[in-house]
Amino acid sequence: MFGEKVLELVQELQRSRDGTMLPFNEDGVRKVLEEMKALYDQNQADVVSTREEGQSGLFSGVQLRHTCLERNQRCLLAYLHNRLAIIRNMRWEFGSVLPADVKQNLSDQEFQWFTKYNKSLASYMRSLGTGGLDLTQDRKPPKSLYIEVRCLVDHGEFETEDGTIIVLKKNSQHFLQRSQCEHLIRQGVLEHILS
Amino acid sequence: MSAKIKSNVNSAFKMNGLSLRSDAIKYLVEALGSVADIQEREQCLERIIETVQKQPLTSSLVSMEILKAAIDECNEGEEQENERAFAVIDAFTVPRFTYNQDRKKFLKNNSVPCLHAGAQAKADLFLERYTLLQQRTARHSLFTPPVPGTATDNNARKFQLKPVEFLLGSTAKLGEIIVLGMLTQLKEGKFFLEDPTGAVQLDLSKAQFHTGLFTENCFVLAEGWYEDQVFHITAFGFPPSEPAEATRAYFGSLNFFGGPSPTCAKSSEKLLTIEKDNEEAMFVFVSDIWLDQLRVREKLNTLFTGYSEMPPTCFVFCGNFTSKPYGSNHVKTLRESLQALSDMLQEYPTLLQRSRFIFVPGPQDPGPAAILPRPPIPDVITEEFCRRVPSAIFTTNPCRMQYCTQEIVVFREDIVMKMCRNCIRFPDNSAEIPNHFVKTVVCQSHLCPLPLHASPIYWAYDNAMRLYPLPDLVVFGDKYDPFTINNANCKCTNTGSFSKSGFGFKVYYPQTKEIEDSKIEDE
Repeated sequence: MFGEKVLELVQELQRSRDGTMLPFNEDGVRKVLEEMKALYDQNQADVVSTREEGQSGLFSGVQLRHTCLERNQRCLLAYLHNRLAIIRNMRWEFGSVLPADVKQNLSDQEFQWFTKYNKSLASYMRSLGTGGLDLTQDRKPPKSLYIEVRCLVDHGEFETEDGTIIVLKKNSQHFLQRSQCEHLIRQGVLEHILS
Repeated sequence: MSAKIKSNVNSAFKMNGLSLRSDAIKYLVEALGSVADIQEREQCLERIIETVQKQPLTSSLVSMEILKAAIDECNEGEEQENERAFAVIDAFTVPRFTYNQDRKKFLKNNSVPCLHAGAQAKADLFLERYTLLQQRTARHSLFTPPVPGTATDNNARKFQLKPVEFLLGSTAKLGEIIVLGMLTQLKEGKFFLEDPTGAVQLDLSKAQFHTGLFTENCFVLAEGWYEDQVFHITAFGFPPSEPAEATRAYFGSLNFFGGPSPTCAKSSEKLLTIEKDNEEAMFVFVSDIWLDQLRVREKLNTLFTGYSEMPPTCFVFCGNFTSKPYGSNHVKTLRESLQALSDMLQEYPTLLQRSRFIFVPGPQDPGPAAILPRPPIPDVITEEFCRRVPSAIFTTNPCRMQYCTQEIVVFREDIVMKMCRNCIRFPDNSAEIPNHFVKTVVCQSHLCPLPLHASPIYWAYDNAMRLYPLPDLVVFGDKYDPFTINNANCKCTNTGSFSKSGFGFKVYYPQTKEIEDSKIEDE
């Protein structure tokens, strides 16, 4: 049946709604494109024969195929768009360096898009105010400016914005400005001590 | 001043979601401090950040090494672009790719290969050849399921590819099945078809052979029926070949070939324009040059005189470079002959300046035993020559060359006769041998589809012999009669023996992709 393959793609996307990135289904996309090409070719042939021989009986067939084509297109675009949305969220969550396993699952073009998005975001953030404003920080309103953190891995030297150097050793605890260490928390280097 | 730069650097990296280690900050601030103009400094910083992001980063913390590598890349960026137009790729540095069946992608294998690898490497050698051909065959239009909605055409029959397992698991008679597998002789005199799932005995008495030289350990598509544990073959064929464009359409611009560029040279617009503009580009391929014979040297002299007016891009000289193999004087003779060659070349300054000289060793040149790929002729012999002829490159056998967007593979081995000797049924019409041979090589995607006992290959370096995706030109230096055959958009040519059969050689024009037969006539 027409449109079955593309439905599989959309279903695959739906199943990974929790934000995980599935590998780009190149095979599936290619199959849908092949199907679309076959549909288009047949429509073209039917339209030509209608014009030349004046048959009008083929119209309903053409219409059916055209609807299928449009549906395929819509679903394909939805597949691509939703994947891009996931990638965009990842920029805000993980920062500009994607984990290796996520990176493997992107297609070449998606990765290119990610780098471009990264660049636009960076240049926009630098253009704000004097010296730039990091929009990825404080995505939720902070309760306090300073927080207590515990180091989970040996990270080495870390320089804060005012120039003081602290050594992040495993299991050491620090009292740091939230804005300074938030990205490290997101990467899992530091842990926020809540109580 | 430096404090301002520092805060600038810090914020720029932070906006890009990166942070620098403290030693890296110091280094970068010093490096940028030398740039006086503020705007220029900003641009530098941006370029550095861009290149940092291109590096293989594992975390957002940028260390000193990564930063240094990025700055180096920024500095030499432009010089590199020019160099990429021509590259000679050593067989031992060819990138290794393994096909991953789950992801349907070629993944780069970064492990360091070992020259004399363990037993697993031998199994992997055949497994990798199989998976490569299997994915290629399964993708061929004969074996893909029909697209829904297309008019069913009776002429275009569709087949299903079955694994050997499928045969072994059935007790009833199975008719008309096609299996892809490797031809082996597990028991003496009895042929078997083997794939990763098992092996099945073959009955070849009624088999028809399509074009090709079917040797042991080559991969075949076998068609026939299965009954009583024996697969009765009705027809034997090779897995269908696939033009390089089709391969690239599937795997994108992955650089299978090797060379400095991270992406495939075919996708570079810039190189394509260089290639189109350079009408004079020309490659001269000569094989079997017995430098120790005066007559051969005289002919070479004629060749150089002829080309001194319009120097070719490069001369590719294939061995053997001496007429007599082995012996205690072998190395000495070769060194002296190369000396004589360099003397001769000194008289042609235009050639020395504008042409490259590439030397591919032959099976009987000094070096290790005849196991492929073969390392270059030892430095002890070539040192003096390289000093006098700086544009000389001594490389491996086989070797790869990238010229602009074109890929060229050179292979010096008397392979045609060897394949004929080892094939299980010799073709009826022996005049057609070149066709059979080229078809075999192209369909197997391998330069040397022979059993390992007939032509040993370093197991871990088998991928250097791979022809996938098919290059634009494959040059064989074989003593067999010269031929040029086009198969699946891949030109295969044999230069013939220069010293033995009438001083013939081949000239290749990359712009028009034409091959010209040439010969130095007797005066």
